[in-house]
Amino acid sequence: MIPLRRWWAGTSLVGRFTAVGLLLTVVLGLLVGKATASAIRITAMDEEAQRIATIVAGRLGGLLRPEDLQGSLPPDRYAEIDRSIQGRTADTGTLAVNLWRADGTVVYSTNHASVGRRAANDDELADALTGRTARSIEPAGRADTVLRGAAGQDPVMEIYVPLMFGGSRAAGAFEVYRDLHDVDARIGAVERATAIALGTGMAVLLALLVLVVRGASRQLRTQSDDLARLAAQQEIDRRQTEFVGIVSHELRTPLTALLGFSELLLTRDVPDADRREWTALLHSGAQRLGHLVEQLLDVSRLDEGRLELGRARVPVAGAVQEALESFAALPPAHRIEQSYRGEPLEAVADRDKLVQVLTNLISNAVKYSPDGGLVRVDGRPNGSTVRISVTDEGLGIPPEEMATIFDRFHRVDDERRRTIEGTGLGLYITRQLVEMQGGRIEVYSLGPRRGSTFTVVLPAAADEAGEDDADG
Amino acid sequence: MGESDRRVLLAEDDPLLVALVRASVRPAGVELLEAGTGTEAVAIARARRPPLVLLDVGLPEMDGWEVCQELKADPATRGARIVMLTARATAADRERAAEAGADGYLTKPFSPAELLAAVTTWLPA
Repeated sequence: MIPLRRWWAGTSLVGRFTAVGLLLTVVLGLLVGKATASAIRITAMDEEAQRIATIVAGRLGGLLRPEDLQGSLPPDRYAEIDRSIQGRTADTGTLAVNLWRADGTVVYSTNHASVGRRAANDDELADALTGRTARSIEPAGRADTVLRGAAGQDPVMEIYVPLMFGGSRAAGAFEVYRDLHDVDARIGAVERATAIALGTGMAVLLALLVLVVRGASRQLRTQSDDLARLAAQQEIDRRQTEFVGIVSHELRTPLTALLGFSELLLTRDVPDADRREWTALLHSGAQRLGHLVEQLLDVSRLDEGRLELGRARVPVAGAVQEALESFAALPPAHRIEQSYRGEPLEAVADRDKLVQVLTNLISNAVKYSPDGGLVRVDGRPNGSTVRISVTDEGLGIPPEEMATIFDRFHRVDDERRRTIEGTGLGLYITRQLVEMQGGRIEVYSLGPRRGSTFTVVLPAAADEAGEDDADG
Repeated sequence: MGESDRRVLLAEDDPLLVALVRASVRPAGVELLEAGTGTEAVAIARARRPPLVLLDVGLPEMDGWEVCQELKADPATRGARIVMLTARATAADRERAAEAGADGYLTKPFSPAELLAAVTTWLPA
């Protein structure tokens, strides 16, 4: 029982269905086999009755004369008939033979004590007297009263064979008791064979059906897997092609500036002021190129899991301040405000990576609010975490983009954003960095043109008091 | 105006490239009109009617192709020569330039000398 239970627990739903189905089919097959066997048994019994009737009619029919059935048989005639019947039925498997007169009296019996017995209400005898062979399987109890020496539970067949001397009605009938042991054994074997054959046949059919269905469904599944894989591959290919396009565009602009200004510096004789301005522009082009290369390297490091992160207590305000240093030359339309609660607010993080994350979020906030506006950086404690939010009043994020905005190469596609530079890598890198520091990033937007808020949630640095009532 | 109209409209959204174009064309003695978006470019072209337009393909609001088509469809601005600044020079881009009615194109990265030559070539004498 235990292995069966273990098997059941460890098997899939399909497997369980198949097993139960197979079991039911075998049982059903056996039942059908049994029903079929019953029909076979009845036919076999009828055939046996017919065979005995033919033998009895053939061997014993000529033995009697019409006057033998007029009254009681004289003793010498009785003895003569007895000898003949005993001799002629010895090889037929009969247990007993009675000879009935048409009025329902036994005139001869191999069991001599039965002579003179009258039939109470014997349908088979009545039937036989109309000229038909009749048979019945006697219940063991009744057979016992008739047959001396027959075992109580043994099946016995009673066959009435009409005795005709011309005319439509029989003058009497032989009643033959046939021992059914051999017939029963033979039929039983046929029954069992039939039931087993049908049961096995149906089980095999079902098994074949299950195999065919499973094969077909596996094939379908394989095909749909193939299709899904193909679609995924195509999507990756499409994004990579797009990525190469974006990267080459992003590379070309600073490269054009680098080549252009260096050519100008080399070929033109101009005042020092121009020279300084062009050198500064060349430098800024080189910085942009450097930033792009840095991003690509970050992605490749993240992909290969080669990025190493430290863990330390990082004051949030300090990290934000460091991030804001990159925005010294902010476009005049943008204002940046900061606010902190729970001083000193400290997170457990890698300081450089946290600064990178904040720089990226603030840079996005500025970049995606082309009409300017307020960029707010808020830090506050929340239980055992620190929440740092960067909120802008810019283009916002359409609801359908929320799920994919952190995907690699993904860029929100709308008219105004299409011309804002971006590789689709910034937020991907940002999320990876946050998650690698044991944190998570959340995004919130009221929708297009209504600004957006990105919140970085990091573990808070616990001080002594904080650790004491960590549950509070 | 008249015989020696040296005004050139530059439609480019990247400040780095605006600075580069400005420095590059200086020897040609042109007056550079600057537009940062596609719609701004169309508005300035209509208002000021410069004889030459340097048009970046990747402009905000309206891209360079749309601006080009718009200017070539308008009788008031049809006369302006248009040189596209593209990132790629694929056959498709060249076809697209011809389709949009552009007179020429420069591929990034372009050199200041190339740009200067294009401006002097395309500006009416």
